[in-house]
Amino acid sequence: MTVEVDFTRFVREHTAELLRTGYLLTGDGGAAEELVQDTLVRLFPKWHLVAAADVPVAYVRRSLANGFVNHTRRAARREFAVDVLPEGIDDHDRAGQLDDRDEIWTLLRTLPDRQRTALVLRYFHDLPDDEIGAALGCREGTVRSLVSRGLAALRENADRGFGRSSA
Amino acid sequence: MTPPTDDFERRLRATLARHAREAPPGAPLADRILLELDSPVLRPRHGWRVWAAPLLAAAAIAAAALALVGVSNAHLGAAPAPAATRLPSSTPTPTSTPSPLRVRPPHGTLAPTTVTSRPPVAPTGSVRGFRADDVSFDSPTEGWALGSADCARGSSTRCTVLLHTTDGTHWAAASNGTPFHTPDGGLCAEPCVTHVRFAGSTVGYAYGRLALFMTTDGGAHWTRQPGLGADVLETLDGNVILVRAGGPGSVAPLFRRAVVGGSTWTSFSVAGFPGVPQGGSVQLSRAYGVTLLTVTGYDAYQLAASPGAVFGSVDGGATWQQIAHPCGSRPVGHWSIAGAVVGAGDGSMVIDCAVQTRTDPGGVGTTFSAARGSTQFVRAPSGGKVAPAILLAAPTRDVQLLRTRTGDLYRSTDAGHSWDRLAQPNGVTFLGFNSGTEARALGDDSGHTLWTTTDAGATWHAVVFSA
Repeated sequence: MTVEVDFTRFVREHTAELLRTGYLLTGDGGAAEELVQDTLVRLFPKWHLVAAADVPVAYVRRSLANGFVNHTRRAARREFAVDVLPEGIDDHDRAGQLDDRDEIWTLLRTLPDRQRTALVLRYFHDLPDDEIGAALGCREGTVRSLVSRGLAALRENADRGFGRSSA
Repeated sequence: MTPPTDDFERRLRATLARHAREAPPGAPLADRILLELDSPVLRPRHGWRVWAAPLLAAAAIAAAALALVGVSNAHLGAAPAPAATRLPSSTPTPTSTPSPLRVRPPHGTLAPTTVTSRPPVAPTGSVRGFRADDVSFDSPTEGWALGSADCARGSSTRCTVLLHTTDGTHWAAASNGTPFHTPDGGLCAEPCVTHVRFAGSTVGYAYGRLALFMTTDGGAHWTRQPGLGADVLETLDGNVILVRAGGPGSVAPLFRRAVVGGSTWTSFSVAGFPGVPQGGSVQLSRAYGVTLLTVTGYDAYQLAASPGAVFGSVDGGATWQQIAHPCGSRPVGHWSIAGAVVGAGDGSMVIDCAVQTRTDPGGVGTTFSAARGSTQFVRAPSGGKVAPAILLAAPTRDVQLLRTRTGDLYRSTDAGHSWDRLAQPNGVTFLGFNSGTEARALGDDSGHTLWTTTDAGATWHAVVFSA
């Protein structure tokens, strides 16, 4: 299979999948498209290396996550931080009060890039620590720390009713 | 599979799965990306080199050999040979040979099934819309540019073109056609070549991973060298060396050398030559009788895959020894070779070592340099202040230029101690010295412009290709 055919087929087959990852990382459709396109463009000149990987889409996903965390798009990315912390809520039925669709999503977007990326790779892609570490450029211990701190931040803010529109 | 351990993690997983479905559809973006295959943005652009290639006296070669032979595998040429240090230091007369480094092009060529093979007919009359993929100068004024141009006025098709200049400014087609193709727009029909290298006014080579052509009449006619191809090819002092790393698609590694202009290619071996890591490259640098063959381990967009390796030869590639490069001995972090080069102006060696950090996974670079004939590398006193090199050129030990992954071109005049970012050119895809002071570069305008410096990169002059 030639490099060109391989690249074309890969783009056809995997762009949607990569867009889903990009969307979870960026929280924005346009930014996700930009991230995926930049990643594929960047990898194209050395596509033979991607094609030679055990799981090419994993190689690209790792590059995509790495690009999200590290690259120059950082300056252009939208900010997810909220200006004002919402008021707290009563202490009953915390989990039940969290609307998955909105509140956890909102909370996730307030996390630092690396924590958010680690959580997406762990809980959406089910990647093990070593593969997340490869994407983030850190060791497995650091990955566990990122996931742990990310989860803790989500839980803490969830406990405080962060993001609730009506308390 | 990592099972959820509690309700919150389950909810997080469910949230991610739901929101992932809100991502834009993939097909429109896929279309846009594939359309860009015809854009120069996606065109593989590789290579830079330094035409050092001074004509060495036999004594100089012998001296350099003395510096490299008879030492342990761990330290090839551990100490400079006195004779080598007494070599004339004046700017040598450039020969046909470029020296340093070249990024490994993608494995394989592009499929004839996905692109219509262009007829090997060069445009007649003036060449319009020329874009250079590679250039090769065998003297300060005579050079060749391999690229593509509009096949005819108003035509949307592109033809492979080889241009020639004898004054460094004005270019004319070197042939009425070529038997090979170039990767214009990212697509390349077989036989596909990506680089050109001339050893003099008559003998030259055009090559890609799966194709090698030779001319003995300045580019007017080309003869394919059966079964050969190269990632890197350099000539020096009447000798040509090519290396191709192994790769997918049953592409076998190749190590060949020949007399310039000859059709008999001799195999050689490089003990310990590693596989090329993902993101790494093969580089070849030649000057002052020394040939450096480097496998880089630095990937600007990923983690360092391996430290890389450097091999040296002082007998035209007949025998090789691994050099104990300085990147492998750093105490902390994942260090790798970003580039290595032999100085066209003084025969020194410069290696750029990259280390990636938590705060900057793109890494920081530090250059190490060794005097001619020595492999005792000295670290730049204030190294690590600039990003690792995507392209590296060092006409002398003191004057070093590197292009970072962001496209910026930096220059040091104190052996990497301090760096100045040059205003231009930007995003160079080729950078080559043919002496200690004169160099050329291709900028980031799709190969339309050739940049020239005559003061070791302090100032640059742009010339738009025209013929």
